[in-house]
Amino acid sequence: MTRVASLEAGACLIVKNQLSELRRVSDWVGEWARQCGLADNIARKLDLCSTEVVTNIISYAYDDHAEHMIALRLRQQNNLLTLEVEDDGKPFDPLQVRAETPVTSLEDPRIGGCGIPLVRRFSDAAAYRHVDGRNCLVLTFCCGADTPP
Amino acid sequence: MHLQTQELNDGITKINLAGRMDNAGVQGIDLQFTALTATKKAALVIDLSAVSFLASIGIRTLITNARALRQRGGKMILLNPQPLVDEVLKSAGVTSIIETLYDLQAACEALGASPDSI
Repeated sequence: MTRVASLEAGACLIVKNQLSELRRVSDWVGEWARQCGLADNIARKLDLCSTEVVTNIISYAYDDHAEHMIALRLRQQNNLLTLEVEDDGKPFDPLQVRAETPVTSLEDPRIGGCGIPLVRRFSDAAAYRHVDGRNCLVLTFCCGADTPP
Repeated sequence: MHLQTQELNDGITKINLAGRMDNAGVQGIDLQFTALTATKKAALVIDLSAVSFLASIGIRTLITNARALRQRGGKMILLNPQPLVDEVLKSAGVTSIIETLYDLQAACEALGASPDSI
């Protein structure tokens, strides 16, 4: 398979619903970004978004204490990069989460909840579907030469 | 991730953080960081220049400790975050609740140090 065909076919990673798996996600994303020759700022955004999405799934998608598998797939086609994350947790569309008013004081008791807004901020597009009992979130990143830093 | 402290003049302590401020990174420094921020009134500069990655768990750590420090009458300044870390801090609204500066002298002055002592 040529390098281009390989990038378009994508790369997959399956991780367990354990926070200790997050470094595997980062290492995998970093290695893939290196192989693709991605600009550092794009690689870091991808790292951040994959970390936040998987953290959210591990933290909130499951009510049981059973082991579950979360699947990630990365693809690059021309100047578009997609990250697809699939899980079998509770149906949850992160794109429907309303942006909260930003915290304006250290005394504000709301801490946390910034993972999804960061994903929205640092990806260029997002789509969600729930199919066959599985959540599937697809994030798109533009990685063309004229991508803003 | 690593945490190193450095005593400056006027009772100011600089905390140098280095590495990835993600789940594993935060676990590695959490106890030490909390001991420095939550147990006494202190004036702290948190040097983020060597933090290469900041996830929401790291934001939570910064805010929790800044709040605990404030409750004891202390103050924390964030110093010199790298560009993407800076963007994450701004996006999450952290820079509006924890002062973030890009110059050590300015950070020390914001903590009450006299300009001559820096």
